[in-house]
Amino acid sequence: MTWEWPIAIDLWVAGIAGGAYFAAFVMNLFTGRKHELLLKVAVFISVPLVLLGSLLLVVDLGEQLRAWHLFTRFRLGSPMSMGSWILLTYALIGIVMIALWWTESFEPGEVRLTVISGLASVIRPAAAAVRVLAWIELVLAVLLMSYTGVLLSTSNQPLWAGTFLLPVLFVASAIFTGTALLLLVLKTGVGRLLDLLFGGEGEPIPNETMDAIRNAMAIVGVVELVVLLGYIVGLALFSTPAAASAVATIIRGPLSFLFWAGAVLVGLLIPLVLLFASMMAKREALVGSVLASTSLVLLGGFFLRLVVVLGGQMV
Amino acid sequence: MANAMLIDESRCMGCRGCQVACKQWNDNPAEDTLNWGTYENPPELSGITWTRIKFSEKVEGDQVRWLFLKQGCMHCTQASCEAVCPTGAVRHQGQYVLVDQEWCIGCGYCVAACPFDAIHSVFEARDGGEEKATAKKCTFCVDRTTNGLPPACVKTCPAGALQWGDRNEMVAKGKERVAALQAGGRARANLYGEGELGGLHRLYVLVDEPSGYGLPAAPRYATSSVGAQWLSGIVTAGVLAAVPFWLLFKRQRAQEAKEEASGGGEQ
Repeated sequence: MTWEWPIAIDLWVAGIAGGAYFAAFVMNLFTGRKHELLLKVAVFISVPLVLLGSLLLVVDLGEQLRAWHLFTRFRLGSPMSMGSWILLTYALIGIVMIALWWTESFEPGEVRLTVISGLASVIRPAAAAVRVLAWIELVLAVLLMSYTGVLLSTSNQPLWAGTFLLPVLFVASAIFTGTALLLLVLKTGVGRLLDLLFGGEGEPIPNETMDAIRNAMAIVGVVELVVLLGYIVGLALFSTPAAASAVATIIRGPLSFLFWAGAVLVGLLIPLVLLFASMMAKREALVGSVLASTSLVLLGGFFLRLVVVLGGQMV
Repeated sequence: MANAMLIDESRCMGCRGCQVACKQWNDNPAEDTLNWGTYENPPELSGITWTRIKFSEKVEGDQVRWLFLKQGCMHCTQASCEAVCPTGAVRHQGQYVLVDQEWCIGCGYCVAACPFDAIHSVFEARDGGEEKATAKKCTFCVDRTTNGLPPACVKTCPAGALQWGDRNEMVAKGKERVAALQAGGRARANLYGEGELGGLHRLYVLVDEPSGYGLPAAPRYATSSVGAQWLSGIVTAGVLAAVPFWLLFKRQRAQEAKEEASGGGEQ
């Protein structure tokens, strides 16, 4: 098998990174920029994830020391070439955004560690560029999420190639898992800690916002469930015989436990029940319920990527 | 002048001399295999097995007939491996589709993209385990054919099933052979590869439907819908931005505005 678990993890973490940033950006935008902290938290968590994913991609190469060859070409038709550029620029712009935010924590003229404050004062005039960079990063986040699906669908493996629903499924799952990580980080207070570490005020996130994130997440989960159903049924009934037998390895064959128990039950059904139960309860979401549902969603996202990556190469 | 290989499957007798010749000329090691109940061996093409006779069993009445297919790289005009290669290591040189072994990073994308499953990663023994290395496949014996010699498999075929020469000539010969087979009662005989993917440089005279041999009836260029695939991902993100995010947070904003207004009234 040519592509194994490192690829599945890359597609998983790249999706989470893109999804978390995307969700944070639109939530901040639609509330009239009241949630800059969300955006910061999303960048803080997505940059390391993207770096981890890129590292795994290099590890999976046959000739790791030649990885730089990827950046000698810009091939629009090759999703892997596009993906390498997207991962690289996403991480670079994210790092610049963190640096610019960090300079804001310094008062002008303040004397702290000389070298660091000197550096901060040098890049401080560019701090206004964060707004523009945030929009560019949004475009990259959307491309990053799409890349995880397009990478597989631009091929000739029956499970991957016979459908337009694979990019749709992976984007939906990216936003679902990304929102889950965002909510997990906010609810546990790690988000505030990160913000404090990087020189922010560490202001608390209001509970209504967290509940709104939970509600959005639940609806994205339902969309993903419907898309997954469409993807499986579409391949099984309306595609080639090869695609139908590829689906059979997932739903009845060696991968069926991973699919039904991991991707469907753990990743979608149980967390959706928890999320909707917490929505119905009409009170502030319980920490335990949020922790359980978001962790399950994150795990399930990995199982989904693993099943699709391995299943595509089993026929 | 593009050359092509004409493979007359009606003449192939499944001796697999071509497999041995290929291994010897290209210095590829043997595969470690077990008897798995058929004369077909090794079980599939790989980074060190660039051609192989596939045995398909076809039941006709109470008779079982073998269909032999000499598998290997088709050197497609629209080559999926070349299209998806992120570094440009796989590229056309004349009619040859070649992998630059010094430039290939071993990502394995071409392996997933090939519609004929003809290109594979080489797995090398390293540190006690097997590790993926670069991708390799049939080169049409480029070192022989650019020096006026036929590919090793063509040279060795004892049944006269393989020919190497100008592509137009090979197409004409193939059609002639198909007509002769059809006149002899093989009604389903056909020529495969003339127009597929812009024209393959491996042409097959088949005595049955391509699907009977396991060949794709309409091979797909891997990147044929890549733009639309990107678009479907981007549109999904757009739709999900509107529902649920825009809807939910619009409501939250309206609620906050109302609270602010009523709060202002109390003061």
